[in-house]
Amino acid sequence: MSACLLAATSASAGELRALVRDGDGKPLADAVVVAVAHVAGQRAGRPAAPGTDTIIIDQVNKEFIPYVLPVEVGTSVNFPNRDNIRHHVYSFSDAKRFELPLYIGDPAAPVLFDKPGTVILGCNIHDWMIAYVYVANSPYYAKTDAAGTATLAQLPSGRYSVRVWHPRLAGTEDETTKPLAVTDEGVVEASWQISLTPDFRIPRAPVPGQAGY
Amino acid sequence: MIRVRTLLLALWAMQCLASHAGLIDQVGVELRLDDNLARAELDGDITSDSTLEVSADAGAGYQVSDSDRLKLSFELSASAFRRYDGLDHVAARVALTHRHKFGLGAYAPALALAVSASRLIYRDSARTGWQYEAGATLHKRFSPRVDIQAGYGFQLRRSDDVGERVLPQIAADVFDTSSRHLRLGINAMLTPSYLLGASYAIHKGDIVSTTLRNLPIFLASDAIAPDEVFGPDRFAYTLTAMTRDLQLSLSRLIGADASMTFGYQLIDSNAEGGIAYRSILLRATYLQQF
Repeated sequence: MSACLLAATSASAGELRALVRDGDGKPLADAVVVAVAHVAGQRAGRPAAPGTDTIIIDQVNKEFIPYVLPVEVGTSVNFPNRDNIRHHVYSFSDAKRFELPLYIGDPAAPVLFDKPGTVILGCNIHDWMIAYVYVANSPYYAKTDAAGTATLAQLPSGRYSVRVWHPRLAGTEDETTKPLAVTDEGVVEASWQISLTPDFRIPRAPVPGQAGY
Repeated sequence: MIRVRTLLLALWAMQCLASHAGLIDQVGVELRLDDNLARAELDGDITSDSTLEVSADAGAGYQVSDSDRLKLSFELSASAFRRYDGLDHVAARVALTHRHKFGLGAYAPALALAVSASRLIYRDSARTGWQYEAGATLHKRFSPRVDIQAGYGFQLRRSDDVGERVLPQIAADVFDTSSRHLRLGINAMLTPSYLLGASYAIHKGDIVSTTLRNLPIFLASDAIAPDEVFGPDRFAYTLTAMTRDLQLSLSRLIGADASMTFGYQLIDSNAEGGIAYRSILLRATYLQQF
């Protein structure tokens, strides 16, 4: 992993602009960048408190959308099923074990993510369906886009530990941690290059059965 | 060549129908090479051929409960042989499958019970008839990369018409066969895009071998009938055999909805009377789901 930290100017508020690349140097989407303040209680500027947003993970064409959803601890997520078949959403993850038995449309209640960590979602009917809810222990986080960039805006000035997580992260999240200082009137740029594990997923594509003769 | 064009046109039409109407779940095209099509023992009887097959699947599934799923599926397929066009056929298959999952999640084992009936219409009318299958398959996934299956199945085939007996004391219903099999299989992803499959099966029951007049086969056979598909003076014999079937395949996953698979199959049969044959089949199969 290599790192590049550049302090820049000409911004109206504290802001972190992150760029995440994979081991080959290509932009990496669906990485979560999390900034944790060194001083407890140092928070400001987020538009909504945890649990007040309507955050959803859709089920469309037998896939979860989005593939990665970062939320803060205490956030509730709804899992509407927009397919015309029933899904059965579950997670065995320590950060949140839950099950939404067969349903179409909106489930009875959203799911509260009340512990930090990574929650792996699956569908009991369609084994290839997978998605991740990253439950952050900080209000300052963002997910990288296709260009590998993510912006953490409205950061109060102060010192932060910034780390990166990705579903295929080869090492530990802690190994990606960088200390960063943010000022009220500055933009901080940081980049990460992280090694990934191969993207093995349960195949959805059809393959021939064991044909007779 | 005309038949091949017709099949490809049919495949294209099915794809168009599927993409516009959403009626078809999956289409496929397969090129198959068989080095012992007649399942014969002697060099003079062994014939090889290539086959082009197109297929389309449709179906409806119903999730009965969190653990149980019923699926009714229909498959239409058409096969054209390059040399032995008497084997050209279309098949219409209807299958009912009940799948039960023993637990929650992708790694819970599952048991599938399936019954099916197929209508087979051959250019050679003696082969036209019905085929019935029933089976149970246990499936277990260990990781996103590896899963195994174990299955037991039964197959019964009945022809519409049975010709005149060649000899009064020997039946002529050569294509009325039955067999049962036990199969073990494993799939393993080599890379995120390549899936290696392997299976081994043992079949016990009837096989049909077509040869010139052959005393040992004659003595071992349960039924005999002329089989002009493979030429004059050829006879089809029904034999009771133990067949070992090894299959290896390598699939290239193309996105989430298609695959290209290259397959190898070794069939090794040993019939009563010390009669044995071996066949090797090579396949190239493209499947696309919608």
